Amino acid sequence: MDLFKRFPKFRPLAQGSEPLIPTEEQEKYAVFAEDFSILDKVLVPAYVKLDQEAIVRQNAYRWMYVILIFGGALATILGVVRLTFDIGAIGLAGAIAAGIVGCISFALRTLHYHGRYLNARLAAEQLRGEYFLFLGRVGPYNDEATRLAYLKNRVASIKHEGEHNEPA
Amino acid sequence: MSQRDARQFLQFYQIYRHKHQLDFYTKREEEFSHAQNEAIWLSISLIFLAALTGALASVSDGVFQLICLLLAAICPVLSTTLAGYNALYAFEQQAKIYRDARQNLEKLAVTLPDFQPGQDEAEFVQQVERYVQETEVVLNTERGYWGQLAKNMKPLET
Repeated sequence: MDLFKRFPKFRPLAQGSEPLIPTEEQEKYAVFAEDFSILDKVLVPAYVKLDQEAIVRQNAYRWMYVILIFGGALATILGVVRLTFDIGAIGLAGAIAAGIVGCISFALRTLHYHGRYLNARLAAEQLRGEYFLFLGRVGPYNDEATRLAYLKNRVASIKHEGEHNEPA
Repeated sequence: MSQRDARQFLQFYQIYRHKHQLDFYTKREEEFSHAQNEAIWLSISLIFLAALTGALASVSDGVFQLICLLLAAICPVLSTTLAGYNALYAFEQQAKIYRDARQNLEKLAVTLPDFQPGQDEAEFVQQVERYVQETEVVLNTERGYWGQLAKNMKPLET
């Protein structure tokens, strides 16, 4: 079911992050070999870091909300069942579920997973764009004398924004 | 950039940027539209089941009546849970953002520069630059919309 395809995972990085351009594909474009090498040193490490951070934070954020949503439902259902059957253990389980949901609700307000994953994802995608602009010598990357320095500045600035820990 | 390099870059950009993003948007749009439909049908089924079991409870007795009453109480809770899950992922809104981005990229694909014999080299390089910049504008716009939506992608807090 597509509805649960994006359900949070226990190991979000199990499949590894997708490389911007696989090495074997880069080899088909020998004319850009030097630029690929620069990008692999300057931009790709920051992209990989932000991409992985976005995946991990997004997964953690979704876990918290999924537990909150389903935990809340479970506590309610256990309450209904407790009213029907006079079994103390069900009431206790309902109380535990409600307690866990309460703790998660508090954690959601303090951990800022949402803002962190948003910042990291947007920064990673911005870096992906810079990758192609640099390679195509488009806009500010057209000037041979300054393009490398400009790239370094852009990467540092985008990385700083992406690592910003406050909510977006 | 020479005309030869520009042609190589154009080919590279088309495959790894334009087509890559187009495939991504197409797949996500399809997946999220399906997810949205599934959420709607599941929610309708749960409400229908609640109504049915509620009606059955009134004309039955014993254990069966108890089970019907329980289901009549639990199904609306599950339906609300599903609504919360749907709000967390914002399937409908995300599908719309991806559909718009896909359509804009498809429009741009029509304007793909093509080197004509006898064409001025600088003119072709400029065409490639313009095409890249227009594509990046589409992708930036999608990113902006997604960022705005993602800020609000969470169930209503009580």
